Amino acid sequence: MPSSVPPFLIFFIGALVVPFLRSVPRIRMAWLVLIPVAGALNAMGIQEGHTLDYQLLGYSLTLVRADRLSILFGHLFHLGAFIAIVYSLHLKKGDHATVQHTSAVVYAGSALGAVFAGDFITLFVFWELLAISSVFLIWTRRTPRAVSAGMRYLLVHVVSGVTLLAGAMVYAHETGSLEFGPMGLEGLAGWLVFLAFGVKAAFPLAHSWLIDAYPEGTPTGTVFLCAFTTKVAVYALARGFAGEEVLIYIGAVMACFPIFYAVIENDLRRTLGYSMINQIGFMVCGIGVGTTLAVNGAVSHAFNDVLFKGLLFMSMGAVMHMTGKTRASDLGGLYKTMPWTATLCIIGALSISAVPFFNAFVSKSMIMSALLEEHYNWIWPFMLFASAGVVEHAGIKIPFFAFFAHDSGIRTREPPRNMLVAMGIGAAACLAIGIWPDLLYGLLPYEVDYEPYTYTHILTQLQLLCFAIGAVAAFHLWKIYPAEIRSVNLDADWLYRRAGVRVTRFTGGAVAAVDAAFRGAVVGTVNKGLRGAFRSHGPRGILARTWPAGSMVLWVSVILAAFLLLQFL
Amino acid sequence: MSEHRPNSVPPPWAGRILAFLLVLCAVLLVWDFFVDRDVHHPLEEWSILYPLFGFVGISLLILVSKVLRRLVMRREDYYDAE
Repeated sequence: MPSSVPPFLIFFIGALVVPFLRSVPRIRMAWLVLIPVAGALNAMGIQEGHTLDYQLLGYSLTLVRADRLSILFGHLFHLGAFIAIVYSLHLKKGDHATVQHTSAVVYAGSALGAVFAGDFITLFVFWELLAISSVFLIWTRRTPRAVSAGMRYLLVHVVSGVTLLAGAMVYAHETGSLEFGPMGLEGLAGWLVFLAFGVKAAFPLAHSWLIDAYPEGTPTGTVFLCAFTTKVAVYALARGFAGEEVLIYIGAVMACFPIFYAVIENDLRRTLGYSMINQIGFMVCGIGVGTTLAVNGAVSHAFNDVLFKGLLFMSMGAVMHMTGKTRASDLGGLYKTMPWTATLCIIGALSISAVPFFNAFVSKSMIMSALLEEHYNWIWPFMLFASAGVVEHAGIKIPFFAFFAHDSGIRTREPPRNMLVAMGIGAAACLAIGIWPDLLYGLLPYEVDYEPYTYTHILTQLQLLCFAIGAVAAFHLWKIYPAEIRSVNLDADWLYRRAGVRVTRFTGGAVAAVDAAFRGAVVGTVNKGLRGAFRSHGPRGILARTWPAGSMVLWVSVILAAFLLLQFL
Repeated sequence: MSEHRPNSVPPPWAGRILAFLLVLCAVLLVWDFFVDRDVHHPLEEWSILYPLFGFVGISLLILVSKVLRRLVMRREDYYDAE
């Protein structure tokens, strides 16, 4: 008898009960909090090496495969789900609470199912469930933009799932196995699976679903969204493609290009979306390096990202909940009326900026050190530049434009207590890991032989951060910092939202014109034939006339005469 | 929630924070010349590498972003109009 049940099962059963508790909100709150707590207690009982197999169509599939990597992400997702659930407890009927809570719990359960899946078919099922359950967290905002962004999000993720399934089928054909393990980029199967993971991890050019959809989610829904989907992809890459060199370059591009967009983006939740791609870039780069230090760095940074990015999304969600605004051009001066939210947001900003004694300081540096250890000397400066860029957009821009900058005149109050508690838990976790990194290091997949608090690391990081902040301050004082303008910035989604539409319209128009011409020609020919037939066979047609008997005799005589004449010739 | 006219006057403590930042930058810059740091990358031998990356990197980031904005910025209802 197993000592624990599959982690996703607790969430799925929990989600089944949620709709029946809609008329008893207090019991629903308690039930919702109980789900991740029960899940975490169950997960603590899962031993390394534990597996749960089942048979399907002659294949042996693995519903649960527990090793240090999957257990780490299991703990992370329970913590992330707990914080996000506490953050969303205030939801009421008008917020479509039942739909939001149910889909969020299924979504968290699907993420757990995916990281514990030991084979491609099980992974595929949870991969698709992640997409289907999470889209409701976007749609429930009920704005036209949210509805269409949600549809695009769903399409992209379903395509990712189908690509994964295709890769799995080819893999099964090539190897006779469906086990999901290290596979590398050899053969069609490897590339298909890599592409599927890459879409979910927001690789460059496949990233715009994140920028498009996350800012359109509900204030609470986006907190769930930022915790699971991309982290499942990071886990999958770490499991399947650790050490693939191409990931280093992809990661470097991901870390660098979004920071330019983040500077000019006006919507602060969209800015956090770009920031998210930037942080995933560090993780992808670490996975690409593939050494034990690098993979430890990548997954520990994924762990920390859920906490600090979640905290930043929560603080912006709180601002949105209280003011209805997330554009930098509409906000400012909120520290006067939301001091706690501002303080917690600043803790998130310090954490993501990798300030000493905050959590990113102890994880991002492992990736940077691994790059140097493996002599990727020309990639390292780009990642250092990306690190400085984080300070600009997430460290300063987010808290500055929301809570300080010019006084927007908005006078509001702190968000509901549950939101503050959730942000407080996130902030405490960021600080706890920053101060006592062994809390996290003890969970990592490989033994950690790394000391983040060295004299050199603290000094150089402070130099980087302070001078980066100094540059931002100088640009503000010189009034050449890009102004916050209500606008939209073209990104890769332009290809399918504008160019694709135009190409489709043009192609459709051309096909319709050719089709119309062809049909016209056929119809014209048929009509012409019909008119001819009508002329000869119609009521007045020569072949349809009723000829008099005399006329017929005359013609018979003529034919006979002609016949006789021919006989004599 | 009530609306007031926007007020661009910075809070009184903004100047003190900037002064503190300036002093901190100066101390960190000078400090580097008097200590032996671990060096893993050839560029790290240069004492002002990290301050340079911080200040010049962010300056370039902001300036390039301003150029990028000229290329990619559109009206807010750009996609809604389609």
